Amino acid sequence: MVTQLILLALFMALSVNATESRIESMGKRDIFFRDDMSIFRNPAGIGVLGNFVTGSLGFVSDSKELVLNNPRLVTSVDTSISCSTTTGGIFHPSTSQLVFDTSYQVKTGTPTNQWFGVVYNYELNPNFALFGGAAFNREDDLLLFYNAQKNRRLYKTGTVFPDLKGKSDFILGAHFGKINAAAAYYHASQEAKYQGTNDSTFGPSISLNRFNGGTEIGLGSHSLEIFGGIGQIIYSNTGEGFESALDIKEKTDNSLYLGSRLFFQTKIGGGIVFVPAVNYAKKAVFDSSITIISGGIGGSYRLENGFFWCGMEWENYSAENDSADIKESGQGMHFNFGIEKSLIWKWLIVRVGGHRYFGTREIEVGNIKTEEWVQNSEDSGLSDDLLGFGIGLNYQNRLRFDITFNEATPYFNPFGKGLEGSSNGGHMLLRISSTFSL
Amino acid sequence: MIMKMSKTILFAALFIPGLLFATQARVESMGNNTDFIKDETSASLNPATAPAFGNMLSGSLGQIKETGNGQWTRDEQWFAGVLSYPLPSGLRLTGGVTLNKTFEIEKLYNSFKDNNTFLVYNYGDKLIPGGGDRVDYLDAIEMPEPFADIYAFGCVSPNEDLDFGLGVRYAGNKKTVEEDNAEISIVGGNLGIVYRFFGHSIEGSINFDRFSLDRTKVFNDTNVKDINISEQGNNFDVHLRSFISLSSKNTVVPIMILNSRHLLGFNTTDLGLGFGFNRELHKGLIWAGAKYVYHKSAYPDRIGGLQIYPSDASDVNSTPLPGGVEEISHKMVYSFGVEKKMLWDWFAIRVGGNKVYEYLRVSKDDFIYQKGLYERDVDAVAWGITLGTPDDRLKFDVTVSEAFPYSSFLSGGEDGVLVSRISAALKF
Repeated sequence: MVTQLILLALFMALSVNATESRIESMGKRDIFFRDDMSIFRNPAGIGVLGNFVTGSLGFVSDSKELVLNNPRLVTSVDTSISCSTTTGGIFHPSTSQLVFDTSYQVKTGTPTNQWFGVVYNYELNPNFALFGGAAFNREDDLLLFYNAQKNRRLYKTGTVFPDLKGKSDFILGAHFGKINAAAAYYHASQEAKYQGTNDSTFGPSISLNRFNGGTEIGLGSHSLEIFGGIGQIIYSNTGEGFESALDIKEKTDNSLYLGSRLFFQTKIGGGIVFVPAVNYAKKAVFDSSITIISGGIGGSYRLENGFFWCGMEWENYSAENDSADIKESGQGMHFNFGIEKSLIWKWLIVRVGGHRYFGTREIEVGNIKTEEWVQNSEDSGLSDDLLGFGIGLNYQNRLRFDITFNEATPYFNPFGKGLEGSSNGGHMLLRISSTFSL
Repeated sequence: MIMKMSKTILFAALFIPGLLFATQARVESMGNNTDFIKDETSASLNPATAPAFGNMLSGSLGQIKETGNGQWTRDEQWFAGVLSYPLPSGLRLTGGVTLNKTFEIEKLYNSFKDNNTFLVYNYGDKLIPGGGDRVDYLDAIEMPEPFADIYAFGCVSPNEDLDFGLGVRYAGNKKTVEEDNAEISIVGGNLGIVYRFFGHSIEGSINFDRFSLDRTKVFNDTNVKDINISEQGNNFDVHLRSFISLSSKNTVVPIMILNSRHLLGFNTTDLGLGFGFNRELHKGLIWAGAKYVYHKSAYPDRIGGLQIYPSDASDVNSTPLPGGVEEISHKMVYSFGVEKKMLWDWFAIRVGGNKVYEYLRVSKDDFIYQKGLYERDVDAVAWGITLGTPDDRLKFDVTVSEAFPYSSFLSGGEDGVLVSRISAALKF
């Protein structure tokens, strides 16, 4: 019982104010601390996080495209790729009406990636509970990869990559004594069919499915997470008028991810929690694929009215795209830290965090081979740059609004127009997300 | 027992004032000089000063700069952590890491690039197409910028009177495209000691950095000389200073500095002697100091085998110096700073000044280009504020735009810039 209380106290403390904005403004990554968003990686986390409604009002950026999955992947050589297209969008062959906008630099002046979800635990007896959840319109990691490949425009004009709709998550799990286990399903798809001149139909269809499962095992005051999943993107492009750069009518790409992390509670320094973690992910869509293996260790520490974490993670990846004849591989180290603390009032939480990646990469574009060192940028206007900060508004520890600030905001007069010239553009806030504990 | 207790109080009295408001923006807005005050930024020079600051996280959101056409970006972002751990034996171990904080040698290298110091012949517009008749060599060879800028240090404190520190640092970059190769690195380290006695202290440190640049580039054009440069240089800094307590509030600070730098054929030596004064105020600090520096430097005639040309402009005060010249100068650096909590315990205001007067002689082969008083581009006065918790454990230090107070409150500052740098520190 005492152990369970310690475990509960540990997890509740770590789960305060846990949303996308919290992660973004507190170190950019959530490998080494627990947050609500981790339930989409390991759904068994619902068993310890409790009941809540969560969501996001979305993300804005005036300067860069929103979708950048693994931004270190092929950036400096994009301009030299001969098969890269420059036209903006796919047009209906009969009406010339814009069907799908695939322009490379998508400015998101209005909020994008809005989503919401709910999770609930139903206790049948002290040792057994069922839990479940659902989320709608969330962009899954595999979908971000699909969008990133689509937006890289490595394919010739006329190749149709529709925006996927109906984005949904469904989770079901159970709590048995000290073990939580759950399974989840994510789906997004599009089927665009048009009437041809001879009563035939044509157009692309695509279906993205992801099945994943995980467990969380209580080991005294420690906790072990093991999780994994498979993903599948099914593509077909049929009918006259639409050519395929892939020269195929149908294709199915499979993805896989596996991971584990351990929350190891110690008595060092008043209760530092060490978190070793390993992850493997292989993502594939069309003729692009990437395989990432990573592992590292982090630690977290409870401050008075606050929380601090830091970690380092080694990463090795290899990627290729056949259409553009690009091969890339690299390895490097992520260094992260994040901190949040109530300041002046208990309901006001200030967050700041940093993420530095250094590594090497080798790129082959055609016959040209480049080896170089890389690091993430300082002030690119992207979510993955060096530093971030934000605030949390916390009402009685139940309703929380987490806000990612434009990092340039505090430098400018709020009544002036100078902010518009900053890397992130004129918005003072970049993301707002919220959680309400039930 | 009483002796030990009084030493502890003296130790606390000596260091606590120096721990307040300790970040980069604080230094910048309070005299832009750390010679005569204790500040966490001094750990970059002398790692043995870190144990006195205890467990700390600090960093900077960066300095905002205009890049042209009303576009603003921030650079000089960094973050750091220091952890101090006492062992049961009385020994204390301290370790720390700083990431992305630009090294002094790198700043010197960047200043060469920014100022187009090494102007060379453009081989009929072929080194940099469209670059004109003269181009900067460091631009022409397309060197990648050194990055990582990782500095790690460890300290051992056998007792509360003595700290030893050892630090290592590295910044570099490498890029290879087919047969072309570019590699740059700064590898260095430092040794430091802090010794305290009867409320006084002595700090000493030696810094060493080896700068290395290798670049090969084949043009496949017989009219253009292929680039093939390999330069290495060793750089040393020696810092000695003492904080001598006259009373519980007043401290005098003598200082001696010796710098010797060798970079891309540029050689410089600075020898400085200074004297400063600190006075602790009620919830604040005031300091002032003066430093004499003998400065000597020589620019190379050639770089990468190419002749360095003078800039077309004749005003040596605002343009890069021509190749092969020698500078000798006598500088006096006057600086002061004050910080004080005002109105509320979470609000402090700072102001400081730093002015360099320099008697400069620039010559080449006995031909004197310039001789007389000279003012380098040093901003004389800056100010800033701190917002933090009343117990001083969390601080946000801000350097305020100097143009802002002169402008309308609703649109003030250059392009509405209110703040030029933000940095923060958390002690735990």
